[in-house]
Amino acid sequence: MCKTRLDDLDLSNPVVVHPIKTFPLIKDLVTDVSWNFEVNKKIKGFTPAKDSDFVYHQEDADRVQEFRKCIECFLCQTVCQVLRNHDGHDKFYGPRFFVRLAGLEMHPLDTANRLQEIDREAGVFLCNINKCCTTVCPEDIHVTDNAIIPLKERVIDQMLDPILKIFRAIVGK
Amino acid sequence: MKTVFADSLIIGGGLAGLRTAIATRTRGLDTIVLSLIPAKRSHSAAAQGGMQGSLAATIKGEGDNENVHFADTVKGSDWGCDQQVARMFANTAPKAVRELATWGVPWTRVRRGPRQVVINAERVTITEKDDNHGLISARDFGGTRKWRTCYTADGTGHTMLYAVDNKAIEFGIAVHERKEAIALIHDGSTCYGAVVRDLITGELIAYVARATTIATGGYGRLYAISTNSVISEGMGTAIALETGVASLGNMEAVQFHPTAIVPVGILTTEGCRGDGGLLKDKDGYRFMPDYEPGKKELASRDVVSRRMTEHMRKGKGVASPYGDHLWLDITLLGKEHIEKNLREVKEICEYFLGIDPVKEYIPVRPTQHYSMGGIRTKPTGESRQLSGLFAAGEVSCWDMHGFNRLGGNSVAETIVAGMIVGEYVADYCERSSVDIPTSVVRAFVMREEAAITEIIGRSGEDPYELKREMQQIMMEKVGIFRMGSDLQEAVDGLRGLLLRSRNITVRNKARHSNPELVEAIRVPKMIKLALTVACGALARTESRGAHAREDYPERNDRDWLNRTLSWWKDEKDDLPVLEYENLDVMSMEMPPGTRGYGKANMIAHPDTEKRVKQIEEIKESMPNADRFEVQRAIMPYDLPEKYQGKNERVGVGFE
Repeated sequence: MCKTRLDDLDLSNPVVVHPIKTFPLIKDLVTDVSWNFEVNKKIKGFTPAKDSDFVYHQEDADRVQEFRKCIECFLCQTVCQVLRNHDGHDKFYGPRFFVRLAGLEMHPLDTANRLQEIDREAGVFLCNINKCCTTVCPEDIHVTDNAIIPLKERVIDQMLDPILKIFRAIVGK
Repeated sequence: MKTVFADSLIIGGGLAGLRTAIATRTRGLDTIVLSLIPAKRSHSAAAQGGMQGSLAATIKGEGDNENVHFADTVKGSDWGCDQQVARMFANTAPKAVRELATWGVPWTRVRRGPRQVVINAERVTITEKDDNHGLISARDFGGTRKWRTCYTADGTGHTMLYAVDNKAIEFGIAVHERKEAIALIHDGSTCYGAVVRDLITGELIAYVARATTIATGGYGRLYAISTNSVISEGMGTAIALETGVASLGNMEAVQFHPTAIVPVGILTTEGCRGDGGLLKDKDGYRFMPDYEPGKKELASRDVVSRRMTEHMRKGKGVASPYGDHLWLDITLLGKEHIEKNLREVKEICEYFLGIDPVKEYIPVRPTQHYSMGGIRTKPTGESRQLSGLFAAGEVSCWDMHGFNRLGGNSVAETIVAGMIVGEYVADYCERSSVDIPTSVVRAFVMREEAAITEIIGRSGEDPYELKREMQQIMMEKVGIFRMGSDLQEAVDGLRGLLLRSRNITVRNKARHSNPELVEAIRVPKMIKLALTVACGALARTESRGAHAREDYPERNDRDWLNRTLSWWKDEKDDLPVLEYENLDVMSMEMPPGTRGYGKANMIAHPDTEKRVKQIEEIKESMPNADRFEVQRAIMPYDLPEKYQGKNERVGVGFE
């Protein structure tokens, strides 16, 4: 991993480094991660209300400030089993983009609704919570607990829960 | 010959480049950004502390406005800046912070009620007003009279860069990655684009554009140890210099940041001291109040760096295998504060030093950090000699920082310059068209192609060795304190390296994916830049801001209230041509005064008193005018119309 210290390794044997496995190899240790940039383009950006006064509480900022730490190293994408073992590139956005989506969905001033996309195109339910992404994140973002699971809950709450659906139909919200 | 056409070509994908691109794209222009690396990896991401903008929402920022921010910036520059540009900046910075909020940057907010902060090594309680709850907060930074630096917990530059890059993606702006501009295409009076090398295939491509904006950042890597990332080698500045037409300004103005860690030179933010951290010597003694009883650790960066160096020269430094250093103590801020608002600092200490700054002192030393000098431009960002060539951000000398930059003013400058210069670039594009024979374009591409073929073909000098020697000369002889004799040796040594660099070659003869070839193309350019720095420093026989001459310790406004301009007029020259551009005291809003550090040591300009009196008369003649009217009467300045409006602040409205 990118933050492994040499003094933590057994240096009596050669240290072996591999290119990351989920993306196509260009040369030596260099892989082509451009698929990620294409996924990023699909996500609807920050959308505040036109008449917003842009005031919010620090408590609301705290949550999204965690997601802003991401440096797009794509280690989480690399170790994600949906992408690596099941080759789910066409039906799953990967942990990095759930982090971005969570940052947008939980921003106190954002008004866009991305839940349908999160459910279908992004395929959030393909994640079976192995937490490999969280384990490798060099920025200590709690990808699974703070981004993916809350997104799943939001999708269920908004789109799939039949009781809440009826309730909303009655109160008109 | 492969040719790519655009209306607006932008070289550099950091904050300044991307914001300029958004400005020209919004005006309907076809815009292309060139970047050495994916834009989100730009050096802008390294800015930790924050962005200055006079929003005045925290109680410690009360009373702040454009006037105060302007005055801090001019003072900080040691009166070397262009005051009209400083005004343009101070008026636009609050708009820039707020615009970023609308793009989703989660600025840290004011919380109502009492909270504990550390000021001057003591825990004190400040109480934020109810009305300000939820507004954009700010922290303290060096050389400022108010708490003005807006931030996002930590990693402010990173947060900003991601927001701006994602905005650029939304606008569909093309970013061509792994492309390096190696020469500008021009006809002696107008710039028409650049010759660009694809770093993967090695192919040369002509990018032809109506306007070309350089936004490649600083030239910190001329020094062996720098807080700058490895790509900050000044290539944008160098290709402008190599036109022989465009001039560079104040190249000798190089900032050393007080607190980079030893030995690797990674920065710990000024926010450490802004939030209450202290500097200590080998005895654990807090020495800054002895030197600067007023601002102490939060004096301007150039002042703190010199005081630290002085103190180490007195034998008070901590000896280490990597040379003497001092301590930065943030233990008094407490674990919770450090883990939240100084997280990057904590991680840098853990990973690169193996220490925990919650409990231990951080070893620090002043280290090269920022390039105030750069491509000399008008306040519009356009080169004074080459029309169609613009510069924005650290690469430019439009000249907002003079001889010393305030912390938090550079990230602010990237966005503000992008907003302002972007509008002027669009204006320029709208009134001009590309009318250049393809033969001229071809000639530039062929010239670069031939130069590369020659580098590959001959046997000669090793680029890495030349670079190492250059960086060593800059470290030893063109540092924080400068002496005429050292500087002369630096010029002689660099001149020798320049001559050797004309015979540079590579062992790896591949044209594609060849880092050694990249180095061989860059190093001769870097040596030329180093010569403009060293020659400018040798010629300037005074001390101003970050340029501190031990043999000329006084600031000399009488003879040196001017800007150094440097050219490389002929490819065969061994040294740059220097000329000087006087600063006009009679049109300044703030005539030269003292910065209030140490004991005043300056030779006054003959016009200063006259101008002070004149300004007093102007003020007396308009007793009923508000501060905006008075300002306009003293020093009118121009801004794109959309940024001319007043800034609203809580409690005072648009006053």
